[in-house]
Amino acid sequence: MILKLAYLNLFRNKRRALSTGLAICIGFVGLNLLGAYIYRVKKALDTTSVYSALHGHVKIFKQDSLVQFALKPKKFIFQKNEIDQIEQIFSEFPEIEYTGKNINRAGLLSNGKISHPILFYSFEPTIYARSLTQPDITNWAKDWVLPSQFKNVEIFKNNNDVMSVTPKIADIMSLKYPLNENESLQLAGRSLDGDLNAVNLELGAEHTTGLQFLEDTLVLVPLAKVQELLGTDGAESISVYLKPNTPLAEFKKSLDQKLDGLAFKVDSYNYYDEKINAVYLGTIGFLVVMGAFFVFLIGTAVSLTIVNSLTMGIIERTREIGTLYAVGFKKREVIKLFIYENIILCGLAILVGVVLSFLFASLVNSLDIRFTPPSVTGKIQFRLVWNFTIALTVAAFTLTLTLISSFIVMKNKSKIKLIDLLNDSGA
Amino acid sequence: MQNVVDIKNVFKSYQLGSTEVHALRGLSLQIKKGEFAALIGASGSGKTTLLNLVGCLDNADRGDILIENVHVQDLSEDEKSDLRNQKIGFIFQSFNLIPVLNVYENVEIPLTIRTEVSAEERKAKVLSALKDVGLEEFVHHRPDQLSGGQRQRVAIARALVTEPSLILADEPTANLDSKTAHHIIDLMLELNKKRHMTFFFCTHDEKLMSRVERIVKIKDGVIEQE
Repeated sequence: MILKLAYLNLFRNKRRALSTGLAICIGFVGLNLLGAYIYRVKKALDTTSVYSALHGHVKIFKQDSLVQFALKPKKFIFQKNEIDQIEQIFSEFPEIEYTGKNINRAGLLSNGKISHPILFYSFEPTIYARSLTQPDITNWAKDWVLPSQFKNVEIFKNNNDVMSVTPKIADIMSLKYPLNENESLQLAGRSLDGDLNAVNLELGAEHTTGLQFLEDTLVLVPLAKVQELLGTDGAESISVYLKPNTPLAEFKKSLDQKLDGLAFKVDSYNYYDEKINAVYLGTIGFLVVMGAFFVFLIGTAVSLTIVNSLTMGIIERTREIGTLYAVGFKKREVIKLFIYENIILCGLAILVGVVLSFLFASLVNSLDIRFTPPSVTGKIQFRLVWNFTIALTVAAFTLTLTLISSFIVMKNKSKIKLIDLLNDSGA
Repeated sequence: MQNVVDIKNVFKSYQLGSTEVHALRGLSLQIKKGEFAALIGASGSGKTTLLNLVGCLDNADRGDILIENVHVQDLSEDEKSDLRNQKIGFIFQSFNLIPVLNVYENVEIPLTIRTEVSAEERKAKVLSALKDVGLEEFVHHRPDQLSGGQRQRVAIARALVTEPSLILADEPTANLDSKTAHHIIDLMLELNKKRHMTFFFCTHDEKLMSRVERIVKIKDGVIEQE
């Protein structure tokens, strides 16, 4: 009966119930779409960090290599036998899909006319190909990778001398499009022994770092060529790529235990670790702060609407509340009645909000709106990825907010004496 | 005969702005089981205050109030709610029906919080109460579809559906025309005889006063005469 009475009470003042429901619904849709946007950006960042930036899910370095490798590369590079030992450990983990070796160094890129200081990141063609063809890239970060990068996969497989430059570096060095494999470049740098060395490379591929501050700096060079330049068969780091749905924390814990048994000490980092991926943490941090700010704003607006609506409802029905007490209702039963009313209203608003947010997200995605986020190169699609878990979380948040708001109002109003409730004029 | 209400030396005062009003000044009164008693008195004499104290809607400052030998002062708020639900029925001057509920549901309301009453039992009690007040044809009507007299009948049915020991009524005929008021009085008398229910009500209505078996007159917060 209390539930039925709560439901019927919603139709008492339809306009107010509608406006309150609408406020809850808009709040829900707003939070849901904000969640959908943050979710999409997070997934895109996850994907690009793991696959495009070749960090893998976990990246392994020699201990202190992050700080010391630039100064003492010979000491902090993994030697071939050390890589073999680490790969032996990898073989004990069936959740590993594949691994890749990396070396990152500074050098000078020249085409005979223009020289340009760069950072070169190494890649293994097969690993690069495998990473760029991951389903996650297509699902989440297709517009975060240059379309030509997908074609480069075949070029790298067929020619071990081809390197990849960014459009910005191509512009700085007056490289002509289409980038031609026949155009040769020289990469100069110090070997691990400190000697000056250089290797010939061929042009033919381009990529984007996705970040403005790296677009005039970073080139991709096949690992074999980098090893030739540095005079080594080792690697600075090893990236571990996991099979889908592998719990990362558990895996890393197990891997670290095994790595502790090695004769040499290593450091391992998750792909989102600030030490190897400050951009990821900065971007997610910004989104979380922005999201929390909007959650606060929307939550406050929804909460105040509920408080206002409920207070008005109580004022209008003071004598009725008194009557319920008079016939034997206890305080908690009357509080329950009003809370039920708001929970039902909130539930209905959420149901409508689920449909609206889904339709709005579909509409925005179909419009293919593109924009350039701060510090990012190129335009990315403004995509809203509607997600059931996010909708459920936002629904739970909205319901909790409704419950708390209703409870606070009812708790205060239930302090009114019964006789005063019954004597109320109903104004 | 057993006392349903036993009031001993009750005091009650309240603040009206900066003035302290002494509504009851050591009032004592007994209402026996099955009585049909009217409380009369001038405006401000303490009628409604007394009715509110007997109905456990308000607390006395001093003195004892016993409902079927239960000291109401000793009860917690929840226990008073239970007492109101099980022992007392209320009939209000302005009916106090819940507008979104139909006649059946309005009458059912006090029983819905009784866990010991099954759904079938509840239905039987509600239909019986509605039959007693002659509204069995109107179960699906909403209060706004009823006349004043019919609404008061619903309120009476709601009061008697729990089969209380005592029915308290505050000016039950004040908002009704003369003919309807007579019908309501007839109905209350009939229920008093048929169900042996105790009625205690305050009124200004001469028609009602002429038909009750006991009149209690209150003046300045004490019983003046019976």
